[in-house]
Amino acid sequence: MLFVRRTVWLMTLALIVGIAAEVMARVDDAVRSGVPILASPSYTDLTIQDSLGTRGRPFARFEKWKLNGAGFRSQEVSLASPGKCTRVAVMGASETFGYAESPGKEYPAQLADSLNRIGCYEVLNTAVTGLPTTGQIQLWENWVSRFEPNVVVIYASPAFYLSNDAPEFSKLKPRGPAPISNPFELRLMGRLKDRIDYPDFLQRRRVMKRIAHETAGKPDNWLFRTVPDDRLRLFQAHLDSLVESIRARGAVPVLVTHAMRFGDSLNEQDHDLLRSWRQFSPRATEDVLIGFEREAAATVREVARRQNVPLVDVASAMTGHRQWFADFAHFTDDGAGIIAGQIARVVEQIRAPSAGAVVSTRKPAEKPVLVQPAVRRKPAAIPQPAEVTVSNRSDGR
Amino acid sequence: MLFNSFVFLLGFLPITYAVFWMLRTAKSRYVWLTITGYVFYGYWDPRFCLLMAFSTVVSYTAGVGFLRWTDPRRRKLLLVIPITADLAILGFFKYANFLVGTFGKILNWAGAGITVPHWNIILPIGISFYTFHTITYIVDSYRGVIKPTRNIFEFSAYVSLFSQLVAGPIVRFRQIEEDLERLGQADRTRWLGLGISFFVLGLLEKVVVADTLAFFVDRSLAQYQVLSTTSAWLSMIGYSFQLYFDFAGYSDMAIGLGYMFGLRIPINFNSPYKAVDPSDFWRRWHISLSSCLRDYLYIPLGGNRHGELKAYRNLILTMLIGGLWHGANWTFVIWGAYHGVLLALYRRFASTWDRLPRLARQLSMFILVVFGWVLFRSTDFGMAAHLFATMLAPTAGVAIEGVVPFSIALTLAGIWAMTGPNAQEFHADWRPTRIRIIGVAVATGAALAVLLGSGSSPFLYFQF
Repeated sequence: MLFVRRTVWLMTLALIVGIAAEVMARVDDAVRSGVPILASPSYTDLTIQDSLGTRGRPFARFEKWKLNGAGFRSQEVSLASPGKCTRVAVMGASETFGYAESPGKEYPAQLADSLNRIGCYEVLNTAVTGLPTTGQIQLWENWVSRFEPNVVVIYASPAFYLSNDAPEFSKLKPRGPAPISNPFELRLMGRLKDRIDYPDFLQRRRVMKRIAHETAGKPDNWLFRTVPDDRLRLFQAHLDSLVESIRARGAVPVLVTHAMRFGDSLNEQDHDLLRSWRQFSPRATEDVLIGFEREAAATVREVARRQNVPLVDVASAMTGHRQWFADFAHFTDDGAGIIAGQIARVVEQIRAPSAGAVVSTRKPAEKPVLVQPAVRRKPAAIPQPAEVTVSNRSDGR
Repeated sequence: MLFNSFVFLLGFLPITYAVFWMLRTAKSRYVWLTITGYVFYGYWDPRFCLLMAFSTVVSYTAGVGFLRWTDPRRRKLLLVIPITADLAILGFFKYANFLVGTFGKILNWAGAGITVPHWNIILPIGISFYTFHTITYIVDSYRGVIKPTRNIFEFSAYVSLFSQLVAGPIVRFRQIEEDLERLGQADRTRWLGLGISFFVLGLLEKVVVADTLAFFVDRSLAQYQVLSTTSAWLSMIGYSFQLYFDFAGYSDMAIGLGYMFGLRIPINFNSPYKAVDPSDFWRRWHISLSSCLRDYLYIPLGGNRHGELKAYRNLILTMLIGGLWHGANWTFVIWGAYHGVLLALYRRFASTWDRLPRLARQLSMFILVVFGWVLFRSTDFGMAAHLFATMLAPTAGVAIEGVVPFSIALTLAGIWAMTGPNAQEFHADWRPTRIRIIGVAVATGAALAVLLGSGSSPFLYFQF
């Protein structure tokens, strides 16, 4: 009887600990990140698909990530041009959005810090996790262009072009509130999952199992054994389209080559990370992943040369420097500082001598040529959906 | 290793506890505490275990020497040599760059144009604390206050006791001598509940209160140049409570761990923000340090025995050295001197001050302490001057991000610190009643949730 009573008492105490922990996790999220106590969102809820395309969910909150009313990872921004300051939009996927960096250390934030030391700039981090160049084009045309940036920095991730199906333009969904993915989830479990680090051998097995599952039963020619030219050409075509679209709206595009962790020689950790990367594009072998990245960097250089676009060759400066990467392609705080510095140097050069305007680089010119802003759409009010928040689970890019 | 890390909570502590109570003799328990102390310390950087071992052997030898020799000259040598050795080690690791840098600045100020080297010296964690432990042992042995131990394991267990090794409290040998002597007969269950309760309360203070305040304060003070007056005040008041709950939390965890191992470690904080004058504040804040400064510095300097002027001088000098003990930076020295001046002024005007209403004295004392923390928190005088200017002259600037939740957290922390019970009062008549056990369970859950979310952050006093 005593044993039973003690067991019940201990179980009650364990339950009290669990309930207190769950309540505290919610209070902690509310205090630190502004996540409502009763919400149960997730990492994927940072993005929405609506009539404007795939973009950041306005006012979303998830752990260290906070989006503004426009769905950008920046301070609040108005549609109106910031007067005498130069507005810089940075487009890209998770590397740009900021994944492994400390809050405020993602490279667009560091770019803003660098630029604001030399002049008046407003930097918008318009990146959306997992968004290929097709999505960037839609995002630019339907949303980001409305903010009338003077300079648009493009950091396109080539690896999306190695996914099972080539990136396509997605159908725009009708306007309306997108549902939050999780009706209810224990925040404590999310915190626990984030804390668990599998041992290397176990993580290796999990990754290999996933890749084996993805590739099982596929015909032999399904696998990319060499760099697929058609995918590379598609990447180039989409990049060209994005550059042209940005120019058509009077902004100056800046192309940035994509950097990765992997240099000429790989160590054991590199191989593990390369395999992890492959989970997102199982059609490509690990050699193809690296090869495609290199060729894509050359493609970006080629597009920049042909279209006379300012180029930031981050691939040459950073690829192979392990210390600047938290994984295969996401930056550490220091790495983000390096790329921000590289971009700042180029953006600084194309800043207009007069307020708000920027120097065109469409044609080579000895003297700076001021571009007249193109005919722009009538500014629209920023739609302000109800505040939504996301909490505690990080999963992938 | 941090008390608030999972490697400590789920690995080190359970193993250390289980093995300790499986051992039956005092000697085996001393040995075990020594081993675990070195593991705890070496987890950060094993190289510096040698320093601690050296300091232990030197002090132990001096203690044995005091037992053997009665000749005053020999005893004086036994006092001076080991203390000089301890201070030389502390001086090299903690103050070498500071002294050389200051010397270089003076030379440059005089127009010498010399570049002084900056040595790449790593400050061994907790060196200020265990140096204090060994010095107090030597001095107390010399004075005959304690009888030095002949048991090197007992002494090494005292120096390397993991609960108070790296950030205090500064436990004098005489304060736990009795418990150490009886370690072989200690009863596991006698203080277990009390120990757990102390530890969990300390964890709650550190992880939930201090770290939450730190989340806002650190971000705010990182941009101190652009803060508004309100933001600067809120940040510094937030830092005042953060520092208190951080260090008091650590001390309470140390006291709780002591109880779990049959050792009574004395209280280190007694609601310092309830203090009504400078003297009262230093009787309540970091009690183990302030009492050491009093017994080993202020009184030997003459205390108040040679007239008022010398008493003022001794107060300021003692606090100035106390400030330097906190860190090799002139901001700490000036912070110490500031408190020395406050103590001297209070000594001079106590009768006037004491006539003020209690609430006015408490709030005034709190504001004076907050001013002191500006110096303490600032990395240089430029930052301190900027913060003082912002706080004292109405300045427009940026608001603290998340000012509403920060204000709520600040208010709750303030009410607790300034009117609520401290750990000692909370445990005054501690009995393992159901309601208390449930309270401990709730506090454990809350602390674990925050730990899981933000991870373990180092204690502020680890840097000293």
